[in-house]
Amino acid sequence: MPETPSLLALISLRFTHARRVHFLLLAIVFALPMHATAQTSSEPSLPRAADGKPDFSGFWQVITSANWDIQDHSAQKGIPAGRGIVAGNEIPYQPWAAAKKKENYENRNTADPEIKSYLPGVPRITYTPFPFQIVQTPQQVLVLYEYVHASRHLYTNGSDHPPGHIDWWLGDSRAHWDGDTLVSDVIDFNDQTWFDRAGNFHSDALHVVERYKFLDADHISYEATVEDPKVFTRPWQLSVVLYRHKEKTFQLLDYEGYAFDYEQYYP
Amino acid sequence: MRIRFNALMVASLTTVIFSLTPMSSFAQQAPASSPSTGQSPSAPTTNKWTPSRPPDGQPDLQGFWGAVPSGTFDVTDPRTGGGRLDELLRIRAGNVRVPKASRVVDPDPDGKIPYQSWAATKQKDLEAHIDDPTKPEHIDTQARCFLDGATRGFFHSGFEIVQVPGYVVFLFDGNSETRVVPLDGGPHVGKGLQLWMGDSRGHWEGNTLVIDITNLNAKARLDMVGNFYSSSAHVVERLTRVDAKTIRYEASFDDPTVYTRPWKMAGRFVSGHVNDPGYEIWEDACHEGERSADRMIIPANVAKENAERAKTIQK
Repeated sequence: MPETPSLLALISLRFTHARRVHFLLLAIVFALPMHATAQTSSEPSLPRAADGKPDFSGFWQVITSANWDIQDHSAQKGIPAGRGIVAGNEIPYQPWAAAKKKENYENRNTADPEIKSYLPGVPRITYTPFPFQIVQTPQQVLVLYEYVHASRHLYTNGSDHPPGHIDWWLGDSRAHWDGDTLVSDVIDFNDQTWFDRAGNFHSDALHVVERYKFLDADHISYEATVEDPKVFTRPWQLSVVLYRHKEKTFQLLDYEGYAFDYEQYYP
Repeated sequence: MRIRFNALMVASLTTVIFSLTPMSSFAQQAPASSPSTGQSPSAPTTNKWTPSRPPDGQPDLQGFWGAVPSGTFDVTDPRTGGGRLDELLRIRAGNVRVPKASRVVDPDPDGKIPYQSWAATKQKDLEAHIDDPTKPEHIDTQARCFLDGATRGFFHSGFEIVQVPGYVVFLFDGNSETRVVPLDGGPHVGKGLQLWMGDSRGHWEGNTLVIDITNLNAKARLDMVGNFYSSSAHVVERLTRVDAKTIRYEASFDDPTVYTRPWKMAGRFVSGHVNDPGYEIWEDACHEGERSADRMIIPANVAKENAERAKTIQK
């Protein structure tokens, strides 16, 4: 079952702006009975912003070893074993790209851009082992990451991607609400980031569609559909759970990885 | 040939690096003003303008802003580092430079940071090597893509203020820096935890946002000429919206290990991108593009020869 990407994600990938209206109508029709069910249940209601949208404000972090390898992997020194986060566990590389991935794996401890503390790309920024804070307004869902002071603006103000192509480490994110799911369309990537330490990679044609949806008030389902016709034979999906930090004194700190080697000169 | 690699070449390299950082276009956009002759930004205002209040009751500071004047070359003579090469050439041509009004408003009218003698010596040494760096520590922290620490970010680039219940968030164009200021009245983090941007706690006093900063790792400097504080610094910033287009800014520095007395800087932020409603802060990946900071370092004997040659030229 996990090998089949979710129907909704595939539909949204193919939808043009003109057709989105129809899609929204469909979504409303389907959402109505679900909403009624939620109201009759005894579960506590989800956090909602003043505009009625789900309110993702707060501190979040994954619990997974996906930053080292997004596929099923054995333990290595200093790296926990882990179940993969890729639907079906297989990544549909084109033949040349499968060879390149293998080469990346052999050189991973020097070649992974994350070793140099570069911005880690999307979706990897989500499953780095560092917390992030979501600050939400009606115009944007702002995601502030502890890791190398990265930040992303997921614009929900109806704006389109700027004329491109633009080479960005974290891409350009334009989002909309699909019922209670935040759907973020991300393009304008460079070809410099990897999906993990194991050498899984992409080109600058990478297109990611992220879906953020509450499982309950303290857990968000994060799903990413990955499309890159230069590297893969078809779109594929990965998913992780975002856990809310409940510690009363929790706050974002910092991890400026590239600065550690110079700290001695700036006492 | 090595002697040919002189101060001007280093200065031009420095200029290239600093001009790569997105010094905002606020200086051009801002209403014409003459900071060297204008009134002190800390002068009390008689303006009765009242900011609107979003639903959670905070006075509204939201939008894009930029300091006037901008630039982090020297807090006591504010300007950007981008014009350094031209400035050196003008000085060598015999033009006397008139300093701009210092951001330091207390002590007044001195406009200088009240350093203890060891600290003054250190700052002078850093300033002396800005064009002829001979050691890694001579390279300005901004050229290394370090986070800006206390106050510097406001003068480095334009920025956006976002307010949500319980927080004021600052988003800077330069180096894509961010600051999250909680308004919950909680205590600072413990002594053993030092942070590049420090630990900020905010509260409102009327229409003034007061931000208390401690736990600075103090590895960032205040400007390119080496003005600095230590990790025992206690900084208090005050942002007051005095009219629709202006925020008055003040920051006091208390650091008994570096200064002889507390001192205060002041500034003015004006609305930015008013004619560009679609303006967005875009990714500024500084470290990812940084290639040459250490290549500015030259051998000490070359720096000495350069300094002597410069004296000859100036005569």
